[in-house]
Amino acid sequence: MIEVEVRHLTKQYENHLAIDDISFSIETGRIYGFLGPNGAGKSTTMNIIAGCLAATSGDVLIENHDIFEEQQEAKRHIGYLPELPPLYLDMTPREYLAFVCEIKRVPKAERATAINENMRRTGLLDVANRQIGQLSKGYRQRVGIAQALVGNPEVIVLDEPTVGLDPAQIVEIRELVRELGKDHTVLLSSHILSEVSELCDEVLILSKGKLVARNTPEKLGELLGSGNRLYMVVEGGEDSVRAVLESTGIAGTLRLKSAGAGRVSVEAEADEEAKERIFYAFAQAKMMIREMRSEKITLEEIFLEYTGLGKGEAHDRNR
Amino acid sequence: MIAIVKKELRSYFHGMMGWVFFALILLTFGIYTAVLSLSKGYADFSLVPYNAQFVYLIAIPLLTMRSLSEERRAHTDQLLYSSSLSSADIVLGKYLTSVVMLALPLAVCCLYPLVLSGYGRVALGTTYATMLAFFLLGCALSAIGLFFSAITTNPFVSAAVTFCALLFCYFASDLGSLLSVSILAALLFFSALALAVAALLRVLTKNWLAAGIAFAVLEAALLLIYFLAPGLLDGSVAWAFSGVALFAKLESFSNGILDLTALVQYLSLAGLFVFFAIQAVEKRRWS
Repeated sequence: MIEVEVRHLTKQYENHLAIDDISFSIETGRIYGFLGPNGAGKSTTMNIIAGCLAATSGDVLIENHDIFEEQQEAKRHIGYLPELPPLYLDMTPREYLAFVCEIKRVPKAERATAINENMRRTGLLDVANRQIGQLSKGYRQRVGIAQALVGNPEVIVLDEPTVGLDPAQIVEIRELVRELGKDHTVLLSSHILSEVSELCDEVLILSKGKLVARNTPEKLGELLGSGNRLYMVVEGGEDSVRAVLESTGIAGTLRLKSAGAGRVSVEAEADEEAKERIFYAFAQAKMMIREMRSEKITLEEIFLEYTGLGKGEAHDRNR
Repeated sequence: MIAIVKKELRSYFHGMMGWVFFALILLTFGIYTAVLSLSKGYADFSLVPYNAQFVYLIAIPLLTMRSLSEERRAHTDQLLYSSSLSSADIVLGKYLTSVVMLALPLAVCCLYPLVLSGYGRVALGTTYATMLAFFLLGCALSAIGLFFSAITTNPFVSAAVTFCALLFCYFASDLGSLLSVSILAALLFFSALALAVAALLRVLTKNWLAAGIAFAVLEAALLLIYFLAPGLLDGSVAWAFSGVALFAKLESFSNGILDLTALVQYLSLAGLFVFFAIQAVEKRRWS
């Protein structure tokens, strides 16, 4: 089922285009990651989806309710944690969540259970009656997430949920997000690549206000190449190594370079089957393979490639 | 809306601001009661609010400085925007809170004349009419403060601008009588005002055409009056200033006149500035 549908969304500020004709939809029960450098339009898009900002043109449908036309109905299905958690520092988490329950029109009878349940899920019970201003950043972020969970919305939008936290807190928040992903559809943004590849079922890459790629982390790699890169160091002359490799009929580009001491380093695209053939071919030619390893394209490289930040130099990093 | 009122009241009393505001109002009323009623023995308690009105110059900016600007500074406005509250709910909630904050200490002050009447005759009618006018004046002024809080991000800037605006209202009648009263000067004064309105329109709408048309219409009307009925402009500057001299209007109440036009003016000003504040929030929210 489609939870959120974004159609031709554009946001024009006075003199720059923050979002340029973005369309996508997200489906039930998955974790989606918005990936992009700072200023790519992640926060703006999320702000619009959450109903905090108007778009210049385009539609956002949440559970088939237009966020601009049927605000009340649409907002009931979405919980939002902005980039800076919107906390009242002089309140305790319990008071704060009670206030959020009120402004989100949670029925009175359900409030007490909803507050306790949210605090249990986000691990806030220990600090329920301490002032938010005295809590650590990690706990504040949890309060922010608990706020987004009020009213039990189907979709949860988290804008950079781990930014500014220490490594231990980051791990905790990621664990929490993964937990939430079991009952909710989560859309989170990040510029930390490992986070997105670790957490998300699907990645949407934004660059300069445009949606430049969308797929699972693995598939994105395959789109850029076979996804399997082979590095080898073989003893022998450059020409003979090339001859052997070509006899195995591997496709794609071959990069050969002398590694000194009569050795040649090879970089090629090869899947499992091709690797086997290459191994036996070199064995038959009685040339010794000194080293052989394969590497997947990392999300980092995918990101640089799609956003144009790496300018095609990403692949050369290893040499 | 009620949720906002509850939250705001809580935050006023959790911090210093609410208590400081109460103390200011009660202290000023207490001093004037002691001096005028107890020491000098005036039977007319309405002199107390009439003399105490300057306290608003400080108390109102204190009361309204944080209400909307603090939400934006702390980025908590996004929570309100992503909830089911409308901009009107948010602003009205904030405004209602300042009205309640204003009413509480004044209700305490309303007991003083009753206590005093135990020791002599107090003109209760005049007194309570003046107290009502004093309260409504406070309502109008806090709407102005709320509006400035809506268009700034820094509470201190909001307080400073509100203070200046209130100071202008406080001295407006004196300023009006100082200014030149020649008809040509009046024309120039109102032309400048028309220009300011057009400039404001340009800033708000980012539309040169609308601003230009507004200025042309206003200026044409002014010129028509100048050439056809110049008598209308005579003394008009002083009249315009007396219009914004909100504080001075309290005098007639203290003299025992129930000035309904002043009450209506206070109420409509409050309504107008709350409306402006809603528009300011709405604009911030959607652009």
